[in-house]
Amino acid sequence: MKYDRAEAVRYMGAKKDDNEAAVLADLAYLQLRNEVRPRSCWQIFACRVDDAGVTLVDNGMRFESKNLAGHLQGCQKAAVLAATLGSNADTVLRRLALTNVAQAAAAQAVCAALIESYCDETEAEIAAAAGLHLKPRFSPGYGDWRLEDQRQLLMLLDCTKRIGLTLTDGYMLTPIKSVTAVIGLTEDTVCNTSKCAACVNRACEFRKE
Amino acid sequence: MGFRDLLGKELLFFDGATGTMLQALGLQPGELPELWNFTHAAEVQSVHEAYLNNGSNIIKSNTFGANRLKFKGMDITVDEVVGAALKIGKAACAGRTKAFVALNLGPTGKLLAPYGDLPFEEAVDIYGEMVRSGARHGADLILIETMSDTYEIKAALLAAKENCDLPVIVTLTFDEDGKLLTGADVLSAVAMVEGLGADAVGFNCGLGPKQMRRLLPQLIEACSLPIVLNPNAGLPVQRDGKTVFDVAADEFAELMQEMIPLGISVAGGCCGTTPEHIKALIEKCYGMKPGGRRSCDLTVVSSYGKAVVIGGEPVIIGERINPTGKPRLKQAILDADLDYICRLGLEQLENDAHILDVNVGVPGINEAAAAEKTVLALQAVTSAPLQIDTSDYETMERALRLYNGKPLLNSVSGKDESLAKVLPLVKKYGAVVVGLALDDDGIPATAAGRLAVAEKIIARAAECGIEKRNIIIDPLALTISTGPDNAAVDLEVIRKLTEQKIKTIMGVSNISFGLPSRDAVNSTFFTLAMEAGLSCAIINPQSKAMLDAYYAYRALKGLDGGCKAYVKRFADYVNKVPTAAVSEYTLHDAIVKGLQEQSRLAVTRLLETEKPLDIINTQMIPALDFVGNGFERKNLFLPQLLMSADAAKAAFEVIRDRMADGGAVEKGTAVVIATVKGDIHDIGKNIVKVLLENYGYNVIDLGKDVAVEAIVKAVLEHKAHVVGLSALMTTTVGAMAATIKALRDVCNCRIVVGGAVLTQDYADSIGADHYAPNAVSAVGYVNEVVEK
Repeated sequence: MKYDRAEAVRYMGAKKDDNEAAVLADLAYLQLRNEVRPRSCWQIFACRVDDAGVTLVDNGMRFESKNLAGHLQGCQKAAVLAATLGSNADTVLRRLALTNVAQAAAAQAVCAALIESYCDETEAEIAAAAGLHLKPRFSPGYGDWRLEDQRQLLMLLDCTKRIGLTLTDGYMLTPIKSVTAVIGLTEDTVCNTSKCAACVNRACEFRKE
Repeated sequence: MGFRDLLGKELLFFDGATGTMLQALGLQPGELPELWNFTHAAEVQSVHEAYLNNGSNIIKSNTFGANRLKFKGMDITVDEVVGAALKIGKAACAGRTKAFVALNLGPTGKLLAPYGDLPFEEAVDIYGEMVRSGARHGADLILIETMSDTYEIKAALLAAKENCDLPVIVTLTFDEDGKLLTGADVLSAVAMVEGLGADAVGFNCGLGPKQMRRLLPQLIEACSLPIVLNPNAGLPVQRDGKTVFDVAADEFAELMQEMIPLGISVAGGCCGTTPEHIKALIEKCYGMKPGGRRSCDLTVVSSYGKAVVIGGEPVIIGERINPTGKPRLKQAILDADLDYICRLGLEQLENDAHILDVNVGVPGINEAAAAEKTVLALQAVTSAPLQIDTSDYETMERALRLYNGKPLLNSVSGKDESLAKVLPLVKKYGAVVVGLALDDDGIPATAAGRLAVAEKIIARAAECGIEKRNIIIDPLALTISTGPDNAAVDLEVIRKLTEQKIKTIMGVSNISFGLPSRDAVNSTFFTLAMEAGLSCAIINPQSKAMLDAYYAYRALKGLDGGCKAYVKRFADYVNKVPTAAVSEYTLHDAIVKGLQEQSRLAVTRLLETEKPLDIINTQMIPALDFVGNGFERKNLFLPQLLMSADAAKAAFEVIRDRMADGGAVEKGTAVVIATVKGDIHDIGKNIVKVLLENYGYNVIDLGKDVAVEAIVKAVLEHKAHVVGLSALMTTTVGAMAATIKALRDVCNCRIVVGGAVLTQDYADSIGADHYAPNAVSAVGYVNEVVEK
């Protein structure tokens, strides 16, 4: 799993050339390196997309979300992906929050960068297996897709048993540094969708236009 | 013959996969297999029968996920599901001999608190409900399987033991590196499982037979229990976007056949294994001799991530979480300042403690409740094992129960009351216990007298079913200032017990009580005791002399190959200590530049001449304001702001220690902060907390995922003027609105809100007094309203 320092510095809310931030990120990475245990699972499903949402053909599982539907427009197949850095990463984050808040913030940023890299790497596997192009990841909580659908995604992939990924009562993923996503598979090579475009948080400092 | 009569006496066979078979019969991804007990009972029974017809002795009931969390919102009870599943299982077994139905218990699907949000006792209750149903509907044994979290295993195993008398098998799912999903290795998890009274233990799922074979020696060495092996049909492979297992029946059977003689008592299969696999397995292995029980003399304490073996190299137990003679810690325990207690623990671990002693006995508090909170808080931030140190029986029970791993308990003595009260707890919770060499007549003066007490404790423990290896004797160090033979007596006791392979432990520094320069006596005594065979030393790992003695001893005894650890310690030591212990900066500048060590040195020097409050007002607050302004004007960014915050915090700690020693503890204005219900993101809240503390506020941090009522209660209790609420997700700002409404109903505190998805408009619409787009803004607002 690639450690992308520049991304970590960006997530930390620092400027590109901020050396202190880069040092903090590296120190945090050293603390995390032996504690993160990335795991993922995924499966490809045939899907039907209509205006209001997406239905998986095999089992009829339905996700009501216009934004998700828009995102998967034209796709006959979608991959469902779940990935986590594991619960020991959470322990490091809690520990640093007690002892050194600068490193705690850096570790949060490093974890965010790591899970993104890890998802990208897993997507490369999916693309190779499917022989198709992948649209950007889209997750419950983006746009109008209800967070509650996390439960269906976790059941679909049997995530608890396979990678130790669970939900809180408020439908948050635990371990905290985890991702679930649906990824449209397509023969198109041009991608014209952005997950940021579906997001209601116009003021987000990480927004990509 | 019952299952217990056969276990370990003849080789028994589990069935193979249930899920794989049901999927072949049409079970869809995401569908709850347990509902098939109602809708497809014939199919489920056919799967059981296919295995039984091929010779399986034990079938797993279709109840893997039959816990109440899975049926939320459905009109189905756990008892109905378990009852239906067992009816099918029993029907399949009817008329057969040596055929048993195991009540199958899988993971709850939740992470337990403090790692997730399911409270431990609720998990025990969830499993208890399943166990009671299973026993009532005729299960022959309990199988706790596919477990990858020690805490959940403990909940399930306690529930099984507390709710029925059936035999219990626990099988765990390790990855190829021999780790559970939550980080435990084979030894730490299995030691706990054996301690809690399982009848057999083993591996299932996750790995194929080949990979399990690599881990098998660790399992065999870790415990004395009969071993169970239910591997997958190989590692999962992706084919056409689906997961499949591709070790064929014959190959599976051959691999299993090779492993049986290593010590297996029960063999079967998990994901991907079919009746053909089990048929081949039984054809190959039928009649082979089972491993049965073995002897094991390991003394192990463990946590969810680490095992410490006692009896090899000397083990260091950090003694600092004990309020005796420590006003600051005493105050922290009274205030439930868990952060401070955890920092004490983490510091000791950084200084090479292997285990942390935890004693929170302060007069006038509810010690059991304090111990529970402290154990949870420490286990949230470290995987080092803990030694629960108390003389209060209720505290013992509650801390042992809540502890995640195989605990070390300090202590039982030779007193009759102590033996009668403590030993049953040690047995139930599978602890290792410290036995003090004193009885109703006090501490015997001679080595022979103390050895006699040790013998008594070991004998009484044996009557309770506690093995000798789970007892560590403390010879009790009494100061040499009152008795010249005191050290010699201890050393004699340690030598004699070591000869008998009994492990020992001692609070080393008591030997010098009342003497000057205690470190010199302590470290020499420590060396003598290690040479006599001392297994565990309860010491202050931040004492340089003690650790120097430890590292020197290891090097001298050839325990430190190439003296590597010794050399590293001193190389590090030189780096750690600045040559001139005087700050090159003023406190103000050290904070602005974010230099922790410099800021500590500067404040220490200032304290020689100035009052704490003056230092805070003339140096610290102006420095924090300077940095805060810089942040708002974008002259500096979050990393610099936080480094300054850490530097100021370091200085504040020095001031607080000084104030606590002087007995004058003045608390600032109370501010309650929390991440609202449903949200578990807390970095923003944590940053605000550190900044507020640096400004001298008494911050009551309620943590994350905090219920409305808990916030209201804390605000009223602490008479807080200001409340800070954080929410990161769009879905949880609703909880923020509800919290504000509830607060408005009962008090007129000011409310500041923040979090990634919030906006000024939204904050206005839910009635917050202030929207803080960042931490500095939140602190600025608090300063503003408190000054008024």
